[in-house]
Parts: sequence; C-alpha cells; structure tokens
Amino acid sequence: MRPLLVLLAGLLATPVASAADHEIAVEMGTLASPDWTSWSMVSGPTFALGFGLRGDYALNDHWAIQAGWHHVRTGRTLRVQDYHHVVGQTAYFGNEAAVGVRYDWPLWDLLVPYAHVDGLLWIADARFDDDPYNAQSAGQVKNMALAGGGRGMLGAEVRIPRKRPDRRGFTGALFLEGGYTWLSTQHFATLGDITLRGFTFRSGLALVY
Amino acid sequence: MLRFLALSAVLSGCGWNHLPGIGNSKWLDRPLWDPTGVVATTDGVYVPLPRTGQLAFVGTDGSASAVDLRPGIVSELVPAPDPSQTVAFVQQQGCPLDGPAECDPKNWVVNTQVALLASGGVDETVDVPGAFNSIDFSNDGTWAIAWLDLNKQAQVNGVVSLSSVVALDLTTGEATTVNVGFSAERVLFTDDDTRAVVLSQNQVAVVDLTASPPARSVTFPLVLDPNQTVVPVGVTLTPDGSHALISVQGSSDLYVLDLDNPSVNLVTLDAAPSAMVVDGGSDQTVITFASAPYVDFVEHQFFDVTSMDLAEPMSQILHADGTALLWNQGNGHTAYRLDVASHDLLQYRLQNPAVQMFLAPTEEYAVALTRPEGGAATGAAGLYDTSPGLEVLDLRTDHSETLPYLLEGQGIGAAFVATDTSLTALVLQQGIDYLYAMDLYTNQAQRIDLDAPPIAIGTVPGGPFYITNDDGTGMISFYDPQTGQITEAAGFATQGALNGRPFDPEAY
Repeated sequence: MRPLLVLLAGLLATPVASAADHEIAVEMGTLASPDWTSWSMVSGPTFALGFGLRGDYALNDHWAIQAGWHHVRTGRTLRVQDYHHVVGQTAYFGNEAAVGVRYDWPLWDLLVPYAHVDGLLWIADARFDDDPYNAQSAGQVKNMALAGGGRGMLGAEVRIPRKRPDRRGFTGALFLEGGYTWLSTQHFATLGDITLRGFTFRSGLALVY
Repeated sequence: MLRFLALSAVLSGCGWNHLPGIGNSKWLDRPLWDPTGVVATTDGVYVPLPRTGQLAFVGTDGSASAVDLRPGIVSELVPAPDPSQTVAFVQQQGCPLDGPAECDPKNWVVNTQVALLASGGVDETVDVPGAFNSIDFSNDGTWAIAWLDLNKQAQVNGVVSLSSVVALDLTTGEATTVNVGFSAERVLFTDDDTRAVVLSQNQVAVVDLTASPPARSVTFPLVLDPNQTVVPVGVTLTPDGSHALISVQGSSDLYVLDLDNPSVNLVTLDAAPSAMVVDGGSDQTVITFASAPYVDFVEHQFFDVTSMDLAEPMSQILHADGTALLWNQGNGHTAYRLDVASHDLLQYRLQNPAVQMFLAPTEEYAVALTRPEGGAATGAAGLYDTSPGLEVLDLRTDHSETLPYLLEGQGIGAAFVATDTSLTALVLQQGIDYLYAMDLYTNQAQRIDLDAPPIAIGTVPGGPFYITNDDGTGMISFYDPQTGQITEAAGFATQGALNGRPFDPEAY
C-alpha cells in the first residue's frame, strides 16, 4: 500500500512535462470467474466485487504508464440444515498490484476511448472462522496465496467539463471499462485452490490534470 | 494533497479485519465434521469430514493434517483390532471390478475399497466387490468380514448382492465373497477364530475360516415358512464357542444353535428379550426384558431357564466379571446389582430416570446420567424432578447407596480415570463448556474448563482422553489426567473444505 501511495504522490507532484494529461482515479468493479462456483462457500454469485485506486502518468498525447491497486473481498456465513447454529464464516481478500501501459484516443476533448494492458501481482487471504467477531478465535484458519497474471481492458472516459490538452488545470472524468483478467492458480495451504480467470468490469471517477 | 493521501490510507485500511458477507447465508447439506464419528488410535484420532468426504488426523500433540483419499470419499470409519490403526470404507467411481480395467465413464459404478490407516496415512487398501459399509474383525485380527448394513445410510448402485459378505484374509489381502442370506445384521467370531457366525434375516450362517477359500459350512434357518420374517436382534456365543444364542424381534423364543452338531433348539423366555450377556465365570446367559419385570438366566449345559421377579422391567445390562448392573433406559427409577453366580440382587432407587449408565473400570461404582421428568412436587423433590442429574451408585457395599447431584445441563457422556488412590468420573453436559470431574472416593469435584461445550468423550489407547467440542470448524481437546493439561486442536475440519467433495454418490 505504501509504495503505491508514494507513487501516486509522485505523480501528483510531477510538474506537467507536456500537454498530455495525467490522471488519478478511484474505481469499483467486478471480477467474474467460473471457479467461484466451486467456491460457493465463499461467494454466492460467480463474481466478486472490488474497489481500488489507480494513477496514469502520461508520456505523450496517447501513451501513459499506469499503476494501480485493487481490493476484492467476499464471504459467507455457513449454516447446516438441522444444525442448531452457524458452522462458521468464510472470507476471501484479494489484493492486486497492477502495472501497465495505456493508450488514449481523445475525441473532441470530451470522450476518451482507451485500452490498457497490465501485469498483475495478486496476494490473497482465505479465511475460515468459527467466530467472525473474534480475530483470535481458536478455530480460525487463515491461509495466504500468491498469483501472477495479466489483464487487457477497453474503456472510455467522459471528461466534464471538457479539457483541452494544451491547457493546464484540473477536470473530472467518469469512466467505464471491460476486459479479461487471467490469474494463475492460488494455492491456499489447507483450505483449497482457486483459479480466477474471467471478465472484468470497472467504473469510477478520475481527476485529470 | 497530503489530506487526500491521508484520507486514501484511512479508507483503504478501514474495516480491514471486518469479515465480508456476514449474514449472507450458505446452507450446507452436510456438516464440516462429525464429532460423534471420531475413531481413536495410539497416535491420535481420525475425524470424518462429511462435507468433503475425506478425513482429518488430529495428533495428541494438537497437530492436524489431512488424510487425502481422493478421488474416493469415506463412507464409514471403524476401529481396527490393532490400536495403532483404523479402517475406512472408501467409495470411488470407476469401472466395475469384475469388468475391464478401462471403460466408458458412462459405465462407471461406485466401487468400495477398504483402507487401513495408520499414523495419519494409508497403510494398505483392499478392493472389495460390491457395496459394503460395516466390518468386524476376528479376535486375533487376521480375519475380517465386510458386510452391507442396510440399517445404515448405504449408497448402492448397479447390481448389488444383499445376501453376500466378504471374508478378508488380512495377512494375504485376499477377499472371498460368501453367500450368507438376505440382509446381514451381525457378525461374531468364535474365540478360536476358526468360524464366523453371520446373522441375517431368517437365517444364521456359519463361515468356516479354515477352509481355502473361506466358505459357508452350515446354515441355520430361523423359520420354516418362507412367508414369515424373523429379524435377529441379539446374539451371543457361549464361552466354549459351541452354541450361539439368538433372540429375535418381537418373540419370546430364544434360538439355541449347536454349531458343532448342527441343530436348533427353541427356549421359551418370559418375554421378548431386550438385553442379553454371557457370563463366562458362571457359564450362564443373563437376559432382561423392556416389557416385563423379570430377569432370566440360561445355563449352558441343558439350556434350562431360571426366572426372577424384579420391581420394574430392565431394558439394559452392564456386565463385568461375575457382576451385572441392570437398568432401564429412559423410564423407571430402579437399577439392580446382580451377582450372576448366586443370583443375588441388590436394588437401587434413582431420583430420576436414567438415560445413560456407566460402570467404573474398578467395578466399585456406577454413574447414572438422569433426565428431568417434570411433576408438581415442590422443594427438593421438585428441584430433582425438573433438573438433569448425576447419580453415583456405590456397588461396594450392600446398602443400596446412591448419591444424587443436580447438573447444569443434561449429561451426555462420562469417562473414568483410575489411579491407586483415586477414581475420577469425568462428566460431559450438553451446552456447558466445562467437564465436571469428581473423585468418587472422596466426592471432591472440580471444573475443567473447555473452549467450547463438549459433545463426546473417549480415550486414546494408552494415552489421554479426547473430547470433541461443539465447534463448526472442528475442535478436539486432549485431556491428560496425570498432568491436568489440556491440548487443543481447532479448525481442522476446514481441510480442503472450500473445494468440496470429489464426487457425490448420492447424486450418482
């Protein structure tokens, strides 16, 4: 988390080297995967919700370097038929560090279609807990797993108010993007394995400057 | 800008340890573990994990590991004669054992494998043709009879013989199918392990284990009219192994089978028996009845019956050398100490009906766990009537002495620790997260705190007690009475749980 914040701070502090636009954004999204079906004890639907931050450092009018962090979390309360109380609580936390390149195709200074590809480092915790309100309960099992992967996305952002690239200053943007995420299998020591690969959709707000 | 950075950091850290999805329920069709199906060996205990169909091994040091039998699933777990081992019935998909080694998956059936487990791993496996879920071992542990108990939940598919058992030679691993009669109910071995007696509906078969391969040597029909159905409910062998005594459901007739010179003799009792034990010292069988206040004695020479009156019917018998404790489960307030040789009876009066009775290993005391019975009485009697209890029966004297105690929760189990100077009863109560430990010699009691209420108690052979606790993700406490130390293992039922079962025979 800290290196990311330092990176974002660096991006913000960088004087505008060209007429191109830098950007920082907050985002929310989904990561779908068929493997959530076999992990139905953790996630009801076949996707998980997440949120994150990202920053783009423009190299020129079209190309930018992009870095971001995204957090996915899901879980369920387990009960057994004919059993008098809750069996336990499951949880999955995924933290994604992404670094990639982005290509912008600005149209009329208002609509900016773009594409980006990212390399991903995924650090995840799976947790099985007999008492969700006690972080130190005896029956808590917590395993960590690492995964690597990549992602390709297509999207578009709308800048309001419109901002001409040759003018300095800030403007806001609303963006929507979709693509595919590929991750290697995550091996949780005792709890099981999951392979997250599937369509990804994200949306958010950006500050363009 | 610094404010923005600080806000981002706070937001991202907010609620980090708060688990997501609390209240978003997932209903499981099976629990993660079975706290009443645990089997103990000298190293630790094996725990069935019904959700995944696998096992967990929990060592007495509190360590836990998975016993992975994939792609099979465990249908039954039973103790083995060697205390360092246990036996698991493993079901897995595959081609029929009597067919080709490779076949179209649509022709797959569920096959059964008997796996011998030791030290948390698989020692050896034997494929058995057909569906089996029960096993009995000979006294010397060299033979086993595997059979399908239709009273248990059984997964069957394809063509299954309901009249066969499999004789397993554990020294060679050879399996021999023996036809014994429809729906096997019980298996017993003679003391010299040369014969197995298999009770089935309407008949009893004797399997000769000295033949090669093992074969049925004689069959005793229990009924001559094929339209009649006779279900054996109890069987004992006389100490010399020459006769089998068989009681049948709803009948006051006792079948006496002469195994040496095949013949059947019918002995008429006072009612349909509910409990039956053989006393080797006096060479008699003691029989009680849930529906009649009598105890019958059958001597083993001419099989004559002697009957004695009781104050209440007795449905259960606890037996030790020369002494039997007669009691009535769930009803009645009376128990008896019986000297089997002399037929001397000593009556004990309990405050409330007993639901469980335990005989101490020294045979000096018995402990009864009683249930509330309601009633309109007031004072001490009213308090007893409305409370679960513990009653200690002093079997040493002829004073019919009982010591009643009120329990905080319904008693669900008990175990004993005997030393040269103490005899301690450990009592489990439903929903109460401590063990009640009482020295029966001094009546000194103490609480042994647990992290979760207990469900069952047992002994690791040559080691500590194990207590299974009411915890969804698995919790077992090992209690060493010598040191008073409790070692706990928790969370082991989550082993591989997120990936589910390899396959589900119920859906097959």
